[in-house]
Amino acid sequence: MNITSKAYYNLNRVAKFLRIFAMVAGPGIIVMVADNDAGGITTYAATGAQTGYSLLWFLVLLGPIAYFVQEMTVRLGAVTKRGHAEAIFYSFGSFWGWFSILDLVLTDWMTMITEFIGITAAMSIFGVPPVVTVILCWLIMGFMVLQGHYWTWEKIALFFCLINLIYVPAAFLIHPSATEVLHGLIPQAPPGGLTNQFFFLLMANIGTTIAPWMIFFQQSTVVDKGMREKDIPFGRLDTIVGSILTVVVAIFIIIVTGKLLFGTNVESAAQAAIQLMPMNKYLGTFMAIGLFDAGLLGAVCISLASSWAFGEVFGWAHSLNHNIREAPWFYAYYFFDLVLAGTVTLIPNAPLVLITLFVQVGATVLLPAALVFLILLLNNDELMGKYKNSLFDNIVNIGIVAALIIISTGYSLTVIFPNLLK
Amino acid sequence: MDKVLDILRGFFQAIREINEKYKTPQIKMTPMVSASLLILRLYLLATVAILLVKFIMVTLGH
Repeated sequence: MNITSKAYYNLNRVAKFLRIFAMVAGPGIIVMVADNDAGGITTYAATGAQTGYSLLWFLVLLGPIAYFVQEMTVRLGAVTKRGHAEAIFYSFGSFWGWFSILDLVLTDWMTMITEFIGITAAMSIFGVPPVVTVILCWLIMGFMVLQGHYWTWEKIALFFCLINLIYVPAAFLIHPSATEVLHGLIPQAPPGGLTNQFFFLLMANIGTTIAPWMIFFQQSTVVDKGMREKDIPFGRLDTIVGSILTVVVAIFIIIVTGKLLFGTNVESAAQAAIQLMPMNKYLGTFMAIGLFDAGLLGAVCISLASSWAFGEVFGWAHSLNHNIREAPWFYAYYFFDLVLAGTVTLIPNAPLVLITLFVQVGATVLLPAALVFLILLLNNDELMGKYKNSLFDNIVNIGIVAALIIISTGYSLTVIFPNLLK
Repeated sequence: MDKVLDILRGFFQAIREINEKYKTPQIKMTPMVSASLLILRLYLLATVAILLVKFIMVTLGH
Protein backbone atom coordinates (compact mmCIF):
# COMPACT_ATOMS: atom_id res chain seq x y z
CA MET A 1 0.00 0.00 0.00
CA ASN A 2 1.51 3.37 -1.01
CA ILE A 3 1.47 6.51 1.13
CA THR A 4 -1.52 8.08 -0.68
CA SER A 5 -3.67 4.99 -0.24
CA LYS A 6 -2.66 4.73 3.40
CA ALA A 7 -3.49 8.39 4.02
CA TYR A 8 -6.84 7.99 2.21
CA TYR A 9 -7.63 4.87 4.27
CA ASN A 10 -6.77 6.62 7.55
CA LEU A 11 -8.73 9.72 6.57
CA ASN A 12 -11.76 7.55 5.83
CA ARG A 13 -11.42 5.83 9.19
CA VAL A 14 -11.24 9.16 11.01
CA ALA A 15 -14.22 10.50 9.02
CA LYS A 16 -16.23 7.38 9.85
CA PHE A 17 -15.30 7.66 13.53
CA LEU A 18 -16.34 11.31 13.61
CA ARG A 19 -19.62 10.52 11.83
CA ILE A 20 -20.51 7.86 14.39
CA PHE A 21 -19.39 10.11 17.24
CA ALA A 22 -21.59 12.94 15.93
CA MET A 23 -24.55 10.53 16.03
CA VAL A 24 -23.83 9.10 19.48
CA ALA A 25 -22.62 12.31 21.17
CA GLY A 26 -25.13 14.31 23.15
CA PRO A 27 -26.05 12.94 26.58
CA GLY A 28 -22.54 13.42 28.02
CA ILE A 29 -22.04 16.92 26.64
CA ILE A 30 -25.54 18.05 27.63
CA VAL A 31 -25.40 16.72 31.20
CA MET A 32 -21.96 18.19 31.83
CA VAL A 33 -22.73 21.62 30.40
CA ALA A 34 -26.12 21.67 32.15
CA ASP A 35 -24.20 20.97 35.36
CA ASN A 36 -22.87 24.53 35.02
CA ASP A 37 -26.35 25.73 35.93
CA ALA A 38 -27.38 29.00 37.58
CA GLY A 39 -26.08 27.80 40.97
CA GLY A 40 -22.84 26.59 39.43
CA ILE A 41 -22.22 29.90 37.63
CA THR A 42 -22.75 31.72 40.93
CA THR A 43 -20.24 29.42 42.67
CA TYR A 44 -17.60 30.02 39.98
CA ALA A 45 -18.20 33.79 39.97
CA ALA A 46 -17.82 33.88 43.76
CA THR A 47 -14.70 31.67 43.58
CA GLY A 48 -13.00 34.10 41.17
CA ALA A 49 -14.02 37.14 43.20
CA GLN A 50 -12.67 35.67 46.42
CA THR A 51 -9.57 33.77 45.34
CA GLY A 52 -8.57 35.34 42.00
CA TYR A 53 -6.88 32.76 39.79
CA SER A 54 -5.46 30.71 42.65
CA LEU A 55 -8.11 27.96 42.43
CA LEU A 56 -7.99 27.41 38.66
CA TRP A 57 -5.92 24.24 39.15
CA PHE A 58 -8.61 22.82 41.42
CA LEU A 59 -11.29 23.26 38.76
CA VAL A 60 -9.18 21.19 36.35
CA LEU A 61 -9.22 18.31 38.86
CA LEU A 62 -13.02 18.34 38.96
CA GLY A 63 -13.27 17.35 35.28
CA PRO A 64 -11.99 13.76 35.75
CA ILE A 65 -14.12 13.36 38.89
CA ALA A 66 -17.28 14.25 36.97
CA TYR A 67 -16.19 12.01 34.09
CA PHE A 68 -15.58 8.89 36.19
CA VAL A 69 -18.97 9.13 37.92
CA GLN A 70 -20.96 9.88 34.78
CA GLU A 71 -19.16 7.24 32.71
CA MET A 72 -20.70 4.60 34.98
CA THR A 73 -24.20 5.80 34.02
CA VAL A 74 -23.33 5.38 30.33
CA ARG A 75 -22.34 1.74 30.85
CA LEU A 76 -25.28 1.01 33.13
CA GLY A 77 -27.82 2.56 30.75
CA ALA A 78 -26.36 0.99 27.60
CA VAL A 79 -26.15 -2.50 29.12
CA THR A 80 -29.35 -2.70 31.22
CA LYS A 81 -31.53 -0.44 29.00
CA ARG A 82 -33.01 0.86 32.25
CA GLY A 83 -32.98 4.36 33.72
CA HIS A 84 -31.43 4.84 37.15
CA ALA A 85 -34.78 5.02 38.99
CA GLU A 86 -36.00 1.78 37.43
CA ALA A 87 -32.62 0.12 38.04
CA ILE A 88 -32.83 0.98 41.76
CA PHE A 89 -36.41 -0.33 42.04
CA TYR A 90 -35.50 -3.50 40.18
CA SER A 91 -32.28 -4.26 42.03
CA PHE A 92 -32.88 -2.90 45.54
CA GLY A 93 -36.65 -3.16 45.93
CA SER A 94 -39.44 -0.66 46.44
CA PHE A 95 -38.18 0.88 49.74
CA TRP A 96 -34.95 2.22 48.22
CA GLY A 97 -36.80 2.92 44.99
CA TRP A 98 -39.42 5.19 46.58
CA PHE A 99 -36.81 6.82 48.77
CA SER A 100 -34.70 7.69 45.72
CA ILE A 101 -37.51 8.87 43.49
CA LEU A 102 -39.26 11.02 46.11
CA ASP A 103 -36.01 12.66 47.16
CA LEU A 104 -35.08 13.18 43.51
CA VAL A 105 -38.42 14.78 42.70
CA LEU A 106 -38.29 17.17 45.68
CA THR A 107 -34.65 18.12 45.18
CA ASP A 108 -35.14 18.56 41.43
CA TRP A 109 -38.13 20.79 41.92
CA MET A 110 -36.31 22.98 44.42
CA THR A 111 -33.23 23.14 42.16
CA MET A 112 -35.46 24.21 39.29
CA ILE A 113 -36.71 27.11 41.37
CA THR A 114 -33.09 28.25 41.76
CA GLU A 115 -32.69 27.93 37.97
CA PHE A 116 -35.71 30.15 37.39
CA ILE A 117 -34.35 32.64 39.93
CA GLY A 118 -31.13 32.80 37.87
CA ILE A 119 -33.04 33.10 34.59
CA THR A 120 -35.32 35.92 35.77
CA ALA A 121 -32.42 37.76 37.43
CA ALA A 122 -30.41 37.56 34.19
CA MET A 123 -33.28 38.91 32.06
CA SER A 124 -34.04 41.64 34.61
CA ILE A 125 -30.63 43.09 33.71
CA PHE A 126 -32.08 43.72 30.22
CA GLY A 127 -35.25 45.19 31.73
CA VAL A 128 -37.45 42.14 31.01
CA PRO A 129 -40.05 41.65 33.78
CA PRO A 130 -39.84 38.25 35.55
CA VAL A 131 -43.36 37.22 34.49
CA VAL A 132 -42.50 37.73 30.80
CA THR A 133 -39.23 35.81 31.25
CA VAL A 134 -40.95 32.87 32.94
CA ILE A 135 -43.63 32.63 30.24
CA LEU A 136 -40.98 32.91 27.52
CA CYS A 137 -39.02 30.09 29.17
CA TRP A 138 -42.07 27.85 29.37
CA LEU A 139 -42.62 28.38 25.64
CA ILE A 140 -38.98 27.61 24.78
CA MET A 141 -38.98 24.56 27.05
CA GLY A 142 -42.25 23.36 25.52
CA PHE A 143 -40.95 23.88 21.99
CA MET A 144 -37.83 21.86 22.83
CA VAL A 145 -39.68 18.69 23.79
CA LEU A 146 -42.95 18.78 21.86
CA GLN A 147 -41.37 17.90 18.51
CA GLY A 148 -41.79 14.20 19.35
CA HIS A 149 -38.21 13.44 18.32
CA TYR A 150 -35.38 12.81 20.76
CA TRP A 151 -32.96 13.82 18.01
CA THR A 152 -34.52 17.31 17.65
CA TRP A 153 -34.53 17.89 21.40
CA GLU A 154 -30.88 16.86 21.60
CA LYS A 155 -29.80 19.21 18.82
CA ILE A 156 -31.63 22.16 20.43
CA ALA A 157 -30.07 21.29 23.79
CA LEU A 158 -26.62 21.12 22.14
CA PHE A 159 -27.27 24.57 20.67
CA PHE A 160 -27.87 25.87 24.21
CA CYS A 161 -24.65 24.11 25.28
CA LEU A 162 -22.86 26.10 22.57
CA ILE A 163 -24.28 29.36 23.95
CA ASN A 164 -22.92 28.37 27.37
CA LEU A 165 -19.46 28.82 25.85
CA ILE A 166 -20.15 32.58 25.70
CA TYR A 167 -17.95 32.88 28.81
CA VAL A 168 -14.92 32.08 26.63
CA PRO A 169 -15.13 35.19 24.39
CA ALA A 170 -16.23 37.15 27.47
CA ALA A 171 -12.91 36.34 29.12
CA PHE A 172 -10.97 37.39 26.02
CA LEU A 173 -12.68 40.79 26.13
CA ILE A 174 -10.72 41.62 29.29
CA HIS A 175 -7.34 40.51 27.85
CA PRO A 176 -6.30 38.32 30.78
CA SER A 177 -2.61 37.80 31.39
CA ALA A 178 -1.63 34.39 30.03
CA THR A 179 1.16 34.15 32.60
CA GLU A 180 -1.22 34.73 35.50
CA VAL A 181 -3.71 32.20 34.14
CA LEU A 182 -1.00 29.58 33.63
CA HIS A 183 0.31 30.30 37.13
CA GLY A 184 -3.21 29.71 38.45
CA LEU A 185 -3.16 26.24 36.91
CA ILE A 186 -0.30 25.24 39.23
CA PRO A 187 -1.54 23.90 42.60
CA GLN A 188 -1.13 26.59 45.25
CA ALA A 189 -2.71 28.01 48.40
CA PRO A 190 -4.92 31.09 47.98
CA PRO A 191 -3.56 34.59 48.77
CA GLY A 192 -5.31 34.71 52.16
CA GLY A 193 -4.05 31.27 53.24
CA LEU A 194 -6.07 28.17 54.13
CA THR A 195 -9.02 29.91 55.74
CA ASN A 196 -12.45 28.46 56.53
CA GLN A 197 -13.88 30.54 53.71
CA PHE A 198 -11.41 28.88 51.34
CA PHE A 199 -12.48 25.39 52.43
CA PHE A 200 -16.11 26.42 52.04
CA LEU A 201 -15.38 27.48 48.46
CA LEU A 202 -13.58 24.21 47.73
CA MET A 203 -16.55 22.24 49.02
CA ALA A 204 -19.01 24.41 47.11
CA ASN A 205 -17.11 23.79 43.87
CA ILE A 206 -17.07 20.04 44.48
CA GLY A 207 -20.73 20.19 45.47
CA THR A 208 -21.64 21.68 42.09
CA THR A 209 -19.62 19.07 40.19
CA ILE A 210 -21.91 16.09 40.77
CA ALA A 211 -25.59 16.45 41.53
CA PRO A 212 -28.02 13.53 41.95
CA TRP A 213 -30.14 14.61 38.96
CA MET A 214 -27.11 14.20 36.66
CA ILE A 215 -26.88 10.47 37.38
CA PHE A 216 -30.58 9.91 36.70
CA PHE A 217 -30.56 12.23 33.67
CA GLN A 218 -27.63 10.76 31.78
CA GLN A 219 -28.68 7.16 32.31
CA SER A 220 -32.22 7.91 31.11
CA THR A 221 -30.87 9.85 28.12
CA VAL A 222 -28.61 6.95 27.15
CA VAL A 223 -31.63 4.62 27.27
CA ASP A 224 -33.95 7.02 25.42
CA LYS A 225 -31.35 7.53 22.72
CA GLY A 226 -31.16 3.77 22.28
CA MET A 227 -27.42 3.46 22.91
CA ARG A 228 -26.13 -0.10 22.91
CA GLU A 229 -23.08 -1.82 24.33
CA LYS A 230 -21.07 -1.14 21.18
CA ASP A 231 -21.74 2.58 21.60
CA ILE A 232 -20.09 2.70 25.05
CA PRO A 233 -16.66 3.89 23.74
CA PHE A 234 -18.41 6.79 21.95
CA GLY A 235 -20.51 7.48 25.05
CA ARG A 236 -17.28 7.68 27.03
CA LEU A 237 -15.77 10.12 24.56
CA ASP A 238 -18.98 12.16 24.66
CA THR A 239 -18.68 12.34 28.46
CA ILE A 240 -14.99 13.28 28.25
CA VAL A 241 -15.79 16.13 25.84
CA GLY A 242 -18.59 17.25 28.16
CA SER A 243 -16.34 17.22 31.23
CA ILE A 244 -13.71 19.27 29.37
CA LEU A 245 -16.36 21.82 28.35
CA THR A 246 -17.69 22.11 31.89
CA VAL A 247 -14.18 22.79 33.22
CA VAL A 248 -13.43 25.26 30.41
CA VAL A 249 -16.60 27.26 31.14
CA ALA A 250 -15.85 27.28 34.89
CA ILE A 251 -12.26 28.43 34.32
CA PHE A 252 -13.26 31.27 31.97
CA ILE A 253 -15.87 32.55 34.44
CA ILE A 254 -13.20 32.60 37.15
CA ILE A 255 -10.81 34.37 34.78
CA VAL A 256 -13.38 37.18 34.37
CA THR A 257 -14.43 37.61 37.99
CA GLY A 258 -10.92 36.86 39.28
CA LYS A 259 -9.54 39.82 37.35
CA LEU A 260 -12.33 42.39 37.54
CA LEU A 261 -14.20 41.56 40.75
CA PHE A 262 -11.33 40.26 42.88
CA GLY A 263 -11.80 41.27 46.51
CA THR A 264 -15.50 42.04 46.14
CA ASN A 265 -18.34 40.04 47.63
CA VAL A 266 -20.25 38.24 44.87
CA GLU A 267 -23.50 36.69 46.11
CA SER A 268 -25.01 35.74 42.77
CA ALA A 269 -24.04 35.47 39.12
CA ALA A 270 -26.63 38.14 38.25
CA GLN A 271 -25.02 40.50 40.74
CA ALA A 272 -21.63 39.81 39.11
CA ALA A 273 -23.10 40.63 35.67
CA ILE A 274 -24.53 43.90 37.03
CA GLN A 275 -21.16 44.80 38.58
CA LEU A 276 -19.39 44.05 35.29
CA MET A 277 -21.79 46.10 33.14
CA PRO A 278 -20.25 49.54 33.90
CA MET A 279 -16.73 48.14 33.33
CA ASN A 280 -17.55 46.68 29.92
CA LYS A 281 -21.13 46.51 28.72
CA TYR A 282 -20.43 43.60 26.34
CA LEU A 283 -18.88 41.65 29.18
CA GLY A 284 -21.85 42.26 31.49
CA THR A 285 -24.20 41.33 28.64
CA PHE A 286 -22.29 38.11 27.89
CA MET A 287 -22.36 37.15 31.57
CA ALA A 288 -26.12 37.75 31.76
CA ILE A 289 -26.78 35.76 28.55
CA GLY A 290 -24.64 32.92 29.91
CA LEU A 291 -26.61 32.91 33.16
CA PHE A 292 -29.94 32.85 31.30
CA ASP A 293 -28.73 29.99 29.13
CA ALA A 294 -27.33 28.04 32.09
CA GLY A 295 -30.58 28.32 34.04
CA LEU A 296 -32.68 27.36 31.01
CA LEU A 297 -30.60 24.32 30.13
CA GLY A 298 -30.45 23.26 33.78
CA ALA A 299 -34.22 23.57 34.22
CA VAL A 300 -34.97 21.53 31.07
CA CYS A 301 -32.57 18.72 32.00
CA ILE A 302 -33.62 18.58 35.64
CA SER A 303 -37.32 18.48 34.79
CA LEU A 304 -36.69 15.74 32.24
CA ALA A 305 -34.70 13.72 34.81
CA SER A 306 -37.76 13.63 37.08
CA SER A 307 -40.19 12.91 34.23
CA TRP A 308 -38.09 10.02 33.00
CA ALA A 309 -37.78 8.62 36.53
CA PHE A 310 -41.56 8.71 37.06
CA GLY A 311 -42.24 7.29 33.60
CA GLU A 312 -39.83 4.39 34.15
CA VAL A 313 -41.33 3.43 37.50
CA PHE A 314 -45.03 3.97 36.72
CA GLY A 315 -44.67 2.31 33.33
CA TRP A 316 -45.87 5.39 31.42
CA ALA A 317 -44.63 5.95 27.90
CA HIS A 318 -41.56 8.04 28.68
CA SER A 319 -39.56 8.86 25.59
CA LEU A 320 -38.86 12.13 23.82
CA ASN A 321 -39.52 10.10 20.66
CA HIS A 322 -43.19 10.01 21.64
CA ASN A 323 -45.49 12.92 20.99
CA ILE A 324 -47.78 14.38 23.63
CA ARG A 325 -50.68 12.05 22.73
CA GLU A 326 -48.49 8.97 23.01
CA ALA A 327 -46.84 9.97 26.31
CA PRO A 328 -49.33 12.34 28.01
CA TRP A 329 -48.25 11.69 31.61
CA PHE A 330 -44.56 12.07 30.81
CA TYR A 331 -45.11 15.51 29.29
CA ALA A 332 -47.74 16.43 31.89
CA TYR A 333 -45.20 15.89 34.65
CA TYR A 334 -42.50 17.77 32.72
CA PHE A 335 -44.75 20.84 32.37
CA PHE A 336 -46.19 20.52 35.88
CA ASP A 337 -42.63 20.72 37.24
CA LEU A 338 -41.72 23.70 35.07
CA VAL A 339 -44.92 25.64 35.72
CA LEU A 340 -44.77 25.04 39.47
CA ALA A 341 -41.10 26.05 39.75
CA GLY A 342 -41.56 29.12 37.53
CA THR A 343 -44.64 30.23 39.45
CA VAL A 344 -42.88 30.02 42.83
CA THR A 345 -40.20 32.35 41.44
CA LEU A 346 -42.88 34.94 40.75
CA ILE A 347 -44.23 34.91 44.32
CA PRO A 348 -43.09 38.10 46.05
CA ASN A 349 -40.83 37.45 49.06
CA ALA A 350 -40.66 33.69 48.40
CA PRO A 351 -38.32 32.01 50.95
CA LEU A 352 -35.44 31.70 48.53
CA VAL A 353 -32.79 31.18 51.21
CA LEU A 354 -34.81 28.32 52.64
CA ILE A 355 -35.21 26.83 49.16
CA THR A 356 -31.45 26.96 48.54
CA LEU A 357 -30.91 25.30 51.91
CA PHE A 358 -33.40 22.61 51.06
CA VAL A 359 -31.68 21.89 47.74
CA GLN A 360 -28.46 21.26 49.62
CA VAL A 361 -30.13 19.06 52.23
CA GLY A 362 -32.00 17.06 49.59
CA ALA A 363 -28.83 16.53 47.59
CA THR A 364 -26.95 15.44 50.73
CA VAL A 365 -29.55 12.80 51.43
CA LEU A 366 -29.83 11.56 47.86
CA LEU A 367 -26.30 11.83 46.47
CA PRO A 368 -24.67 9.14 48.67
CA ALA A 369 -27.53 6.74 47.97
CA ALA A 370 -27.42 7.33 44.20
CA LEU A 371 -23.62 6.93 44.13
CA VAL A 372 -23.60 3.81 46.31
CA PHE A 373 -26.31 2.20 44.16
CA LEU A 374 -24.29 3.10 41.08
CA ILE A 375 -21.16 1.36 42.40
CA LEU A 376 -23.13 -1.72 43.54
CA LEU A 377 -24.94 -2.04 40.22
CA LEU A 378 -21.69 -1.64 38.28
CA ASN A 379 -20.22 -4.52 40.30
CA ASN A 380 -23.11 -6.85 39.62
CA ASP A 381 -21.98 -9.75 37.41
CA GLU A 382 -25.46 -10.83 36.32
CA LEU A 383 -26.47 -7.31 35.35
CA MET A 384 -23.30 -5.97 33.76
CA GLY A 385 -21.46 -9.07 32.48
CA LYS A 386 -18.18 -8.04 30.89
CA TYR A 387 -19.03 -4.37 31.34
CA LYS A 388 -18.84 -4.52 35.14
CA ASN A 389 -16.29 -2.37 36.96
CA SER A 390 -12.70 -3.55 36.68
CA LEU A 391 -10.37 -3.41 39.69
CA PHE A 392 -8.99 -0.09 38.41
CA ASP A 393 -12.55 1.28 37.92
CA ASN A 394 -13.41 0.25 41.47
CA ILE A 395 -10.31 1.78 43.04
CA VAL A 396 -10.88 5.09 41.22
CA ASN A 397 -14.67 5.18 41.49
CA ILE A 398 -14.96 4.06 45.11
CA GLY A 399 -12.27 6.60 46.04
CA ILE A 400 -14.11 9.38 44.20
CA VAL A 401 -17.50 8.36 45.60
CA ALA A 402 -16.18 8.20 49.18
CA ALA A 403 -14.52 11.62 48.81
CA LEU A 404 -17.65 13.10 47.20
CA ILE A 405 -19.87 11.80 49.99
CA ILE A 406 -17.59 13.13 52.74
CA ILE A 407 -17.06 16.52 51.08
CA SER A 408 -20.66 17.10 49.98
CA THR A 409 -21.86 16.13 53.47
CA GLY A 410 -19.33 18.54 54.96
CA TYR A 411 -20.51 21.27 52.59
CA SER A 412 -24.12 20.68 53.50
CA LEU A 413 -23.31 20.76 57.21
CA THR A 414 -21.66 24.14 56.75
CA VAL A 415 -24.71 25.37 54.84
CA ILE A 416 -27.11 24.07 57.49
CA PHE A 417 -24.93 25.27 60.36
CA PRO A 418 -23.27 28.42 58.98
CA ASN A 419 -21.20 28.95 62.14
CA LEU A 420 -19.55 25.54 61.91
CA LEU A 421 -16.42 26.83 60.19
CA LYS A 422 -16.19 30.10 62.11
CA MET B 1 -65.49 14.87 41.58
CA ASP B 2 -65.95 11.21 40.59
CA LYS B 3 -63.35 11.65 37.90
CA VAL B 4 -60.83 13.01 40.43
CA LEU B 5 -61.56 10.11 42.78
CA ASP B 6 -61.09 7.67 39.89
CA ILE B 7 -57.73 9.22 39.05
CA LEU B 8 -56.67 9.01 42.73
CA ARG B 9 -57.84 5.40 42.97
CA GLY B 10 -55.92 4.59 39.79
CA PHE B 11 -52.83 6.31 41.20
CA PHE B 12 -52.89 4.35 44.46
CA GLN B 13 -53.58 1.16 42.54
CA ALA B 14 -50.51 1.87 40.41
CA ILE B 15 -48.42 2.36 43.56
CA ARG B 16 -49.65 -0.96 44.95
CA GLU B 17 -48.74 -2.68 41.67
CA ILE B 18 -45.27 -1.11 41.70
CA ASN B 19 -44.72 -2.26 45.28
CA GLU B 20 -45.80 -5.76 44.29
CA LYS B 21 -43.64 -5.77 41.15
CA TYR B 22 -40.51 -4.66 42.99
CA LYS B 23 -41.23 -6.48 46.26
CA THR B 24 -38.07 -8.60 46.13
CA PRO B 25 -34.72 -6.94 45.41
CA GLN B 26 -33.15 -8.67 42.42
CA ILE B 27 -29.56 -7.91 43.33
CA LYS B 28 -27.58 -10.76 44.87
CA MET B 29 -27.14 -9.89 48.57
CA THR B 30 -23.38 -10.38 48.85
CA PRO B 31 -21.65 -9.22 52.06
CA MET B 32 -20.53 -6.07 50.18
CA VAL B 33 -24.09 -5.21 49.14
CA SER B 34 -25.51 -5.87 52.62
CA ALA B 35 -22.77 -3.84 54.31
CA SER B 36 -23.22 -0.94 51.86
CA LEU B 37 -26.97 -0.84 52.42
CA LEU B 38 -26.49 -0.97 56.19
CA ILE B 39 -24.00 1.93 56.09
CA LEU B 40 -26.40 3.85 53.85
CA ARG B 41 -29.23 3.36 56.36
CA LEU B 42 -26.98 4.55 59.21
CA TYR B 43 -25.90 7.57 57.16
CA LEU B 44 -29.51 8.50 56.45
CA LEU B 45 -30.47 8.09 60.11
CA ALA B 46 -27.58 10.38 61.09
CA THR B 47 -28.69 12.93 58.46
CA VAL B 48 -32.24 12.87 59.80
CA ALA B 49 -30.89 13.31 63.35
CA ILE B 50 -28.82 16.33 62.27
CA LEU B 51 -31.83 17.88 60.54
CA LEU B 52 -33.90 17.31 63.69
CA VAL B 53 -31.25 19.10 65.74
CA LYS B 54 -31.35 22.00 63.29
CA PHE B 55 -35.14 22.05 63.40
CA ILE B 56 -35.14 22.13 67.21
CA MET B 57 -32.49 24.89 67.22
CA VAL B 58 -34.53 27.00 64.78
CA THR B 59 -37.70 26.37 66.78
CA LEU B 60 -35.98 27.42 70.02
CA GLY B 61 -34.63 30.52 68.30
CA HIS B 62 -30.90 29.63 68.42
